[in-house]
Amino acid sequence: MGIFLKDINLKGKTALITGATKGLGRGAAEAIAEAGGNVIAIGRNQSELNSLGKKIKKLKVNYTSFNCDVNNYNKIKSFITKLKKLDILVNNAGTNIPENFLNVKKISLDTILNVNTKAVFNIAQLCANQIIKLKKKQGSIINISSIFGLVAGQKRTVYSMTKFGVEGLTKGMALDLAKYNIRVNSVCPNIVLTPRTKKYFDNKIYNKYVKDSTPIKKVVTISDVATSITFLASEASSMITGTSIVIDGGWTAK
Amino acid sequence: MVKAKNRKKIGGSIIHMSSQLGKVGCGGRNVYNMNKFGIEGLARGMAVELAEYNIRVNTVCPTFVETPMVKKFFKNKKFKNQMLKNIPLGRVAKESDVATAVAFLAADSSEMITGTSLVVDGGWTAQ
Repeated sequence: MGIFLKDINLKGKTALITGATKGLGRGAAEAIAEAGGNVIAIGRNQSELNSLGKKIKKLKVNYTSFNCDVNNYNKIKSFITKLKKLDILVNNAGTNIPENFLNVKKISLDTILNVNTKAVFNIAQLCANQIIKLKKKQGSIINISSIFGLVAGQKRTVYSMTKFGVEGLTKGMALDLAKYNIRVNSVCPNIVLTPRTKKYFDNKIYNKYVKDSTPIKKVVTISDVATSITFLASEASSMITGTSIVIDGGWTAK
Repeated sequence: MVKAKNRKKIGGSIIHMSSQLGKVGCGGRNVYNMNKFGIEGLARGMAVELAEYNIRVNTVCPTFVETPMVKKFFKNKKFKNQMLKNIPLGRVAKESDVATAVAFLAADSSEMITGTSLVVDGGWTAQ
């Protein structure tokens, strides 16, 4: 028999997390550390990287941080190719600029495509190659997608284009990396309450729109997503690859 | 694991055992396909209807699992090899692979997951 849920732990595993200073990335970093995994945090805000480090070191796991923009391919490549330990990637860094399709600015299009697709692809490729180079017997890559990788939402044409793309990338990577026993999956949350989205949720109309669209009538929290990420990172999901865990309270079921 | 917070008092989790063949077709399995696609539909309908009671409804969609029934099917080596070719990870699922998925959906750690499927298929349906 294999490993059961009660046995989930990531002891001795090392996870690289992009966009680790805030929101989902920070939640994933903390959850992975709670499960005993070592954390390599990539982010752009040094003081937040430091404060995350303080919290994670209390859990008696190793913490490394790297201050870098995910768009800076050369800088991130030289970092990842020197890593001595790597088992898990949480490919989290992402962005959105809500605009009506007819008025999407060229700069918004470039920004969203660069972060949500090009950087996601590049970092996944670098990490997969590094996991193979380190001769790991297994690996797990988790791409942070969205319900907007499965259905559309208003003022989210570019975002949906990138997240549908991430869904395709996830399945394609799963096939190409299966022979190395590197699993690749995505998580598709509903609109999560994070420091960035809090200002939207403070708007009563928006809050009502999200709750009305969610049959279970609750807002997805960072911990809801972080637990799924930890599950996919662990050996408890060793036969799960090329698929998505949808964390949406029923949004896409209706 | 991160503990779930703010859970409503009424609540529950229903897990239907579906299959990868609730997602894709397979020759010689038409009726099974019809059943399992039906379960996928049932789970979504139930999820929407039972959400007001905070009862979550999901499915688990495994590939071939090392069960006594499948072991019997796999005595036919040609069939076994054909099926394994369709699983990118190159192995069948263990019972525990499915059991962890069921436990995950039963636990509060999945309290915002409803009306969806956890696919445990080693990449079968990703192709």
